[in-house]
Amino acid sequence: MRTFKQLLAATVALSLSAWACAETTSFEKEVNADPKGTVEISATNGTIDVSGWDKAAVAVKAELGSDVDHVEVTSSGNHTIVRVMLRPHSSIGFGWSHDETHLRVQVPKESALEVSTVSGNVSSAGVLGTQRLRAVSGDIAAEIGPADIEAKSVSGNVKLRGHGQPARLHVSSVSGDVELKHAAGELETSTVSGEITVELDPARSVHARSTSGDISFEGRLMRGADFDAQSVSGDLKVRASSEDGFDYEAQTMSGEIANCFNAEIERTSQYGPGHKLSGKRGAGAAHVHLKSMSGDLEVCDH
Amino acid sequence: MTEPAEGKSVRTLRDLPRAIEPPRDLWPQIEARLDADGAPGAMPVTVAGGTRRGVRVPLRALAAAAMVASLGVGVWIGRTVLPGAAAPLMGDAHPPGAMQTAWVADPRYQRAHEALMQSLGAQLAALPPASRAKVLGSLATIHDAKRQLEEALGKDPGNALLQELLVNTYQDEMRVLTDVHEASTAGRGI
Repeated sequence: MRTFKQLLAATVALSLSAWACAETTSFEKEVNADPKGTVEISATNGTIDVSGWDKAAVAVKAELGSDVDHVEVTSSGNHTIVRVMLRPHSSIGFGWSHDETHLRVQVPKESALEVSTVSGNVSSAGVLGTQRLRAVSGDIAAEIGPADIEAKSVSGNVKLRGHGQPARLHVSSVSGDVELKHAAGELETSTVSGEITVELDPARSVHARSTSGDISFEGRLMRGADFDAQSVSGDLKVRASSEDGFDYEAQTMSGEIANCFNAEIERTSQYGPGHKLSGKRGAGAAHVHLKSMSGDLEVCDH
Repeated sequence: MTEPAEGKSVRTLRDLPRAIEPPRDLWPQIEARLDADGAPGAMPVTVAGGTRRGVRVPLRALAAAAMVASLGVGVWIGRTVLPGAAAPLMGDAHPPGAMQTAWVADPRYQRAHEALMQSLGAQLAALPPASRAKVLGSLATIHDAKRQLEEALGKDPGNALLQELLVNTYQDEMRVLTDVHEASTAGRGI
């Protein structure tokens, strides 16, 4: 009985200490930074919200989870680093809590931004410099500025929103979905099983690849634009307008092809499988190329 | 033009002759025959030498045979002769016939991949449990994708799309392994 009471007391003490540890602590720090420098942010988990502002400084405000040891904020030359450092822990599972770190970072709006996380969610807004945003299983949401963006996640979703300013966009996921809205310029995107939904107006070039995920494009093609989408089994759907028209070539081995201009679908071979659709709308100033092994294809010009 | 020595085994593509010239110019005879028959395309022709009449082979069949032979030699060299072509990656079971791209077979890639895989268990243990579960899910997704693409490439080794997607997937895997490595070391940040 005495042993039982001792065990009970130990359990209660352990629970209380765990509860005490689970409380978050606040953190704030601001350092001067080059208005056009690079800001590098990394955190293993939690949320990372970045916004651009007019000051030549990087400000960090955070609620830190109990697994955080400290936050490193340093600035040297044109390089500012914000890094969330985890505390050492027991590998058998004690020492971790379910509370997460929430990091809010304000950066000079013309900064180049580099964010990396393992399972954290990343968002950015109002950043005009180049952005490189990487997550393993976290989601990425970013506002597209006038500069290049590279956004990569493995199982998280990637959502980019633009204002019609042309930029070069590199977006990829393995199983997460990719969504681009009000974007413009050049896009290179790929997924294994996620869905890619793109609005690009206008588009200079689009290079999209998918294994089993569907790819859907809606937008306007510039004169001379190249649109090239290929999949293994994912469906490819293009609704593209173009002032000077576009020529198109769509080919699928075992899928079906649809179009909204009553063009005739042909067999690729008299005896073998496969269908293709090719032709020209208007002056054919842009080029649309769709190819899939077993996915369905759809081409439309409005 | 160089020819491999008689009986010498072919080890690399360089051992193959760049071209094999016929002993004499065959075109005048072919042209005369085409003119005589007056039809384009897959006309039967007499094989090398006007005196050897009676062996008639369609042009298309000859072309197809040559293409199949070239592909066969290329695939055989790719699978059995090129360094690293048959060596499986650490911890990966490739289905028979799956084609490895040159990038994946690169020894530097294999060394880096092997080192990261060996320390993965310890690095995952250093992550918070929720992050660990998500990373394991991501790696499982990548491995499924690799397996599916490799199976598809086993059936269609020359498919450029499958090769591109497979290389992308290997790069994604390396990125995950690198991020996990950095997250669990270097002062416990990434």
